[in-house]
Amino acid sequence: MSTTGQGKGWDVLESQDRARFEQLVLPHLDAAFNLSRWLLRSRTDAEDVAQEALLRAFRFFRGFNGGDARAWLLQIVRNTCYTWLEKNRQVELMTEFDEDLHQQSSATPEALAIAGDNRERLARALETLPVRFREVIILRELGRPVLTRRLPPLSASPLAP
Amino acid sequence: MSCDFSGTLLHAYLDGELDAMRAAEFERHLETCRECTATLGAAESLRSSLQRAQLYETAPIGLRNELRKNSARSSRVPRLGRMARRSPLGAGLPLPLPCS
Repeated sequence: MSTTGQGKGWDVLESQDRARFEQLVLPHLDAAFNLSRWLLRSRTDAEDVAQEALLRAFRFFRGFNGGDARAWLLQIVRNTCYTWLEKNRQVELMTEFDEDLHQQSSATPEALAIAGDNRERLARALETLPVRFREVIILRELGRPVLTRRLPPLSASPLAP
Repeated sequence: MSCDFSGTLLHAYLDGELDAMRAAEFERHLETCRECTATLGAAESLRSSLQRAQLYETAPIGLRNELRKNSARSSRVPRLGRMARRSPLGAGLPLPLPCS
Protein backbone atom coordinates (compact mmCIF):
# COMPACT_ATOMS: atom_id res chain seq x y z
CA MET A 1 0.00 0.00 0.00
CA SER A 2 2.66 2.39 0.94
CA THR A 3 6.34 2.73 0.76
CA THR A 4 6.49 4.54 4.04
CA GLY A 5 7.84 3.54 7.31
CA GLN A 6 10.50 0.92 6.99
CA GLY A 7 13.35 2.99 8.26
CA LYS A 8 12.46 6.45 9.32
CA GLY A 9 9.19 6.38 11.19
CA TRP A 10 9.53 4.51 14.39
CA ASP A 11 11.97 6.87 15.98
CA VAL A 12 10.54 10.16 14.84
CA LEU A 13 8.93 11.06 18.16
CA GLU A 14 10.59 12.00 21.39
CA SER A 15 9.24 10.29 24.47
CA GLN A 16 7.25 13.39 25.39
CA ASP A 17 5.54 13.46 22.00
CA ARG A 18 5.01 9.73 22.18
CA ALA A 19 3.19 10.10 25.49
CA ARG A 20 1.12 12.90 24.03
CA PHE A 21 0.26 10.73 21.04
CA GLU A 22 -0.87 7.94 23.33
CA GLN A 23 -2.98 10.33 25.32
CA LEU A 24 -4.59 12.23 22.45
CA VAL A 25 -4.76 9.88 19.49
CA LEU A 26 -4.84 6.27 20.63
CA PRO A 27 -8.14 6.57 22.51
CA HIS A 28 -9.70 7.01 19.05
CA LEU A 29 -8.57 3.61 17.78
CA ASP A 30 -12.16 2.34 17.77
CA ALA A 31 -13.36 5.31 15.75
CA ALA A 32 -10.50 4.78 13.30
CA PHE A 33 -11.38 1.13 12.91
CA ASN A 34 -15.10 1.82 12.56
CA LEU A 35 -14.55 4.31 9.75
CA SER A 36 -12.18 1.92 7.95
CA ARG A 37 -14.55 -0.98 8.34
CA TRP A 38 -17.47 0.81 6.77
CA LEU A 39 -15.51 2.50 4.01
CA LEU A 40 -13.86 -0.78 3.01
CA ARG A 41 -16.82 -3.05 3.86
CA SER A 42 -14.48 -5.58 5.40
CA ARG A 43 -13.21 -6.05 8.92
CA THR A 44 -10.09 -7.82 7.68
CA ASP A 45 -9.05 -5.04 5.32
CA ALA A 46 -10.08 -2.44 7.87
CA GLU A 47 -7.73 -3.97 10.40
CA ASP A 48 -4.77 -3.53 8.06
CA VAL A 49 -5.74 -0.07 6.94
CA ALA A 50 -6.49 1.20 10.45
CA GLN A 51 -3.06 0.01 11.48
CA GLU A 52 -1.48 1.75 8.51
CA ALA A 53 -3.38 4.94 9.35
CA LEU A 54 -2.20 4.85 12.95
CA LEU A 55 1.36 4.48 11.78
CA ARG A 56 0.93 7.46 9.49
CA ALA A 57 -0.59 9.45 12.33
CA PHE A 58 2.35 8.50 14.48
CA ARG A 59 4.82 9.66 11.86
CA PHE A 60 2.97 12.90 11.15
CA PHE A 61 2.22 13.68 14.77
CA ARG A 62 4.76 16.46 14.93
CA GLY A 63 2.64 18.30 12.39
CA PHE A 64 -0.41 18.09 14.62
CA ASN A 65 -0.87 21.51 16.12
CA GLY A 66 -3.56 20.72 18.64
CA GLY A 67 -7.30 20.92 18.12
CA ASP A 68 -9.51 17.91 17.61
CA ALA A 69 -7.27 14.84 17.60
CA ARG A 70 -10.15 12.58 16.65
CA ALA A 71 -10.99 14.62 13.55
CA TRP A 72 -7.29 14.75 12.68
CA LEU A 73 -6.92 10.98 12.99
CA LEU A 74 -10.11 10.27 11.05
CA GLN A 75 -8.92 12.47 8.21
CA ILE A 76 -5.78 10.33 8.01
CA VAL A 77 -7.88 7.17 8.18
CA ARG A 78 -10.12 8.45 5.41
CA ASN A 79 -7.18 9.29 3.16
CA THR A 80 -5.58 5.93 3.86
CA CYS A 81 -8.82 4.13 3.02
CA TYR A 82 -9.22 5.95 -0.28
CA THR A 83 -5.60 5.27 -1.19
CA TRP A 84 -6.19 1.60 -0.43
CA LEU A 85 -9.38 1.53 -2.51
CA GLU A 86 -7.61 3.22 -5.39
CA LYS A 87 -5.02 0.52 -5.37
CA ASN A 88 -7.15 -2.51 -4.60
CA ARG A 89 -10.74 -1.80 -5.62
CA GLN A 90 -10.61 1.08 -8.03
CA VAL A 91 -13.97 0.21 -9.50
CA GLU A 92 -15.66 1.10 -6.22
CA LEU A 93 -14.38 4.64 -6.45
CA MET A 94 -15.84 4.94 -9.92
CA THR A 95 -19.30 3.82 -8.88
CA GLU A 96 -21.72 6.69 -9.26
CA PHE A 97 -24.94 7.11 -7.40
CA ASP A 98 -27.58 5.37 -9.49
CA GLU A 99 -31.09 6.65 -9.03
CA ASP A 100 -32.60 3.34 -10.11
CA LEU A 101 -30.30 1.17 -8.04
CA HIS A 102 -29.92 3.26 -4.92
CA GLN A 103 -33.30 4.87 -4.67
CA GLN A 104 -35.48 1.80 -4.81
CA SER A 105 -38.09 2.52 -2.23
CA SER A 106 -37.51 -0.82 -0.54
CA ALA A 107 -33.72 -0.68 -0.58
CA THR A 108 -32.60 2.72 0.65
CA PRO A 109 -31.21 2.97 4.16
CA GLU A 110 -33.99 5.42 4.91
CA ALA A 111 -36.77 3.08 3.80
CA LEU A 112 -35.27 0.15 5.63
CA ALA A 113 -34.86 2.19 8.76
CA ILE A 114 -38.45 3.25 8.66
CA ALA A 115 -39.63 -0.26 7.88
CA GLY A 116 -37.99 -1.71 10.93
CA ASP A 117 -34.79 -1.99 12.88
CA ASN A 118 -33.00 -4.80 11.22
CA ARG A 119 -29.30 -4.56 11.79
CA GLU A 120 -28.21 -6.80 8.95
CA ARG A 121 -30.53 -5.23 6.42
CA LEU A 122 -29.44 -1.76 7.40
CA ALA A 123 -25.82 -2.79 7.11
CA ARG A 124 -26.39 -4.28 3.68
CA ALA A 125 -28.26 -1.20 2.50
CA LEU A 126 -25.41 0.99 3.70
CA GLU A 127 -22.87 -1.17 1.94
CA THR A 128 -24.82 -0.91 -1.28
CA LEU A 129 -24.28 2.84 -1.40
CA PRO A 130 -21.30 4.25 -3.32
CA VAL A 131 -18.43 4.82 -0.94
CA ARG A 132 -18.62 8.61 -0.90
CA PHE A 133 -22.32 8.52 -0.02
CA ARG A 134 -21.69 5.84 2.56
CA GLU A 135 -18.97 7.95 4.10
CA VAL A 136 -21.41 10.76 4.83
CA ILE A 137 -23.73 8.46 6.75
CA ILE A 138 -20.87 6.78 8.60
CA LEU A 139 -19.38 10.05 9.77
CA ARG A 140 -22.69 11.59 10.60
CA GLU A 141 -24.62 8.71 12.13
CA LEU A 142 -22.14 5.97 13.00
CA GLY A 143 -19.37 8.10 14.33
CA ARG A 144 -19.90 7.26 17.99
CA PRO A 145 -20.56 4.02 19.80
CA VAL A 146 -23.93 3.41 21.36
CA LEU A 147 -23.20 2.77 24.99
CA THR A 148 -25.27 -0.31 25.52
CA ARG A 149 -24.49 -3.97 25.23
CA ARG A 150 -21.93 -4.85 22.59
CA LEU A 151 -23.13 -6.87 19.63
CA PRO A 152 -21.00 -9.39 17.75
CA PRO A 153 -19.22 -8.10 14.64
CA LEU A 154 -21.13 -8.26 11.41
CA SER A 155 -18.45 -10.49 9.97
CA ALA A 156 -19.84 -13.24 12.15
CA SER A 157 -23.05 -13.06 10.17
CA PRO A 158 -23.65 -15.15 7.08
CA LEU A 159 -24.86 -11.95 5.42
CA ALA A 160 -21.54 -10.23 5.86
CA PRO A 161 -19.28 -9.90 2.80
CA MET B 1 -37.26 18.29 -3.17
CA SER B 2 -38.61 21.69 -4.05
CA CYS B 3 -38.63 23.55 -0.76
CA ASP B 4 -35.52 25.69 -0.36
CA PHE B 5 -35.40 25.03 3.37
CA SER B 6 -35.19 21.28 2.93
CA GLY B 7 -31.95 21.64 1.06
CA THR B 8 -30.35 24.22 3.29
CA LEU B 9 -31.59 24.47 6.85
CA LEU B 10 -33.17 21.11 7.48
CA HIS B 11 -30.04 19.06 8.05
CA ALA B 12 -28.36 21.82 9.99
CA TYR B 13 -31.47 21.91 12.20
CA LEU B 14 -31.37 18.13 12.59
CA ASP B 15 -27.74 18.30 13.66
CA GLY B 16 -28.39 21.12 16.13
CA GLU B 17 -26.14 23.48 14.24
CA LEU B 18 -28.56 26.39 13.93
CA ASP B 19 -28.52 29.25 16.39
CA ALA B 20 -31.69 29.84 18.39
CA MET B 21 -33.07 32.45 16.02
CA ARG B 22 -32.64 30.37 12.89
CA ALA B 23 -33.92 27.24 14.64
CA ALA B 24 -37.07 29.10 15.66
CA GLU B 25 -37.46 30.38 12.12
CA PHE B 26 -37.20 26.85 10.77
CA GLU B 27 -39.69 25.55 13.33
CA ARG B 28 -42.18 28.18 12.21
CA HIS B 29 -41.57 27.05 8.65
CA LEU B 30 -42.24 23.44 9.66
CA GLU B 31 -45.75 24.40 10.77
CA THR B 32 -46.71 25.15 7.21
CA CYS B 33 -44.44 22.97 5.07
CA ARG B 34 -45.50 19.37 4.75
CA GLU B 35 -42.49 18.51 2.65
CA CYS B 36 -39.99 19.63 5.26
CA THR B 37 -41.98 17.97 8.03
CA ALA B 38 -41.95 14.67 6.15
CA THR B 39 -38.26 14.95 5.25
CA LEU B 40 -37.31 15.81 8.81
CA GLY B 41 -39.36 12.90 10.12
CA ALA B 42 -37.67 10.49 7.73
CA ALA B 43 -34.22 11.77 8.65
CA GLU B 44 -34.98 11.45 12.34
CA SER B 45 -36.25 7.91 11.82
CA LEU B 46 -33.13 7.00 9.90
CA ARG B 47 -30.90 8.41 12.62
CA SER B 48 -32.81 6.70 15.35
CA SER B 49 -32.86 3.33 13.60
CA LEU B 50 -29.15 3.47 12.78
CA GLN B 51 -28.39 4.22 16.38
CA ARG B 52 -30.58 1.42 17.66
CA ALA B 53 -29.02 -0.99 15.18
CA GLN B 54 -25.64 -0.40 16.83
CA LEU B 55 -23.63 -0.60 13.65
CA TYR B 56 -20.58 1.00 15.26
CA GLU B 57 -17.79 -1.56 15.22
CA THR B 58 -14.96 -1.47 17.69
CA ALA B 59 -11.38 -2.45 16.91
CA PRO B 60 -10.86 -6.21 17.08
CA ILE B 61 -8.88 -7.76 19.87
CA GLY B 62 -6.32 -8.99 17.33
CA LEU B 63 -5.48 -5.46 16.26
CA ARG B 64 -5.17 -4.30 19.85
CA ASN B 65 -3.01 -7.27 20.69
CA GLU B 66 -0.82 -6.64 17.67
CA LEU B 67 -0.26 -3.09 18.79
CA ARG B 68 0.34 -4.20 22.36
CA LYS B 69 2.88 -6.77 21.21
CA ASN B 70 4.75 -4.10 19.33
CA SER B 71 4.57 -1.80 22.30
CA ALA B 72 6.40 -4.35 24.38
CA ARG B 73 9.31 -4.40 22.00
CA SER B 74 11.96 -1.89 21.27
CA SER B 75 10.67 0.75 18.92
CA ARG B 76 13.91 0.41 16.97
CA VAL B 77 13.37 -3.26 16.17
CA PRO B 78 9.67 -3.69 15.39
CA ARG B 79 8.72 -7.30 14.68
CA LEU B 80 6.74 -7.84 11.52
CA GLY B 81 3.05 -8.41 12.21
CA ARG B 82 0.17 -9.49 10.05
CA MET B 83 0.16 -6.26 8.13
CA ALA B 84 3.83 -6.51 7.37
CA ARG B 85 3.25 -9.85 5.74
CA ARG B 86 0.73 -8.28 3.40
CA SER B 87 2.21 -4.90 2.79
CA PRO B 88 5.59 -3.31 2.47
CA LEU B 89 4.63 -0.92 5.19
CA GLY B 90 5.96 -2.82 8.15
CA ALA B 91 4.71 -3.72 11.56
CA GLY B 92 2.29 -2.05 13.90
CA LEU B 93 2.89 0.79 16.25
CA PRO B 94 5.49 0.33 18.93
CA LEU B 95 3.29 2.07 21.40
CA PRO B 96 1.56 1.15 24.61
CA LEU B 97 -2.19 1.21 24.24
CA PRO B 98 -4.72 2.15 26.85
CA CYS B 99 -6.85 -0.72 28.05
CA SER B 100 -10.02 -1.09 26.07
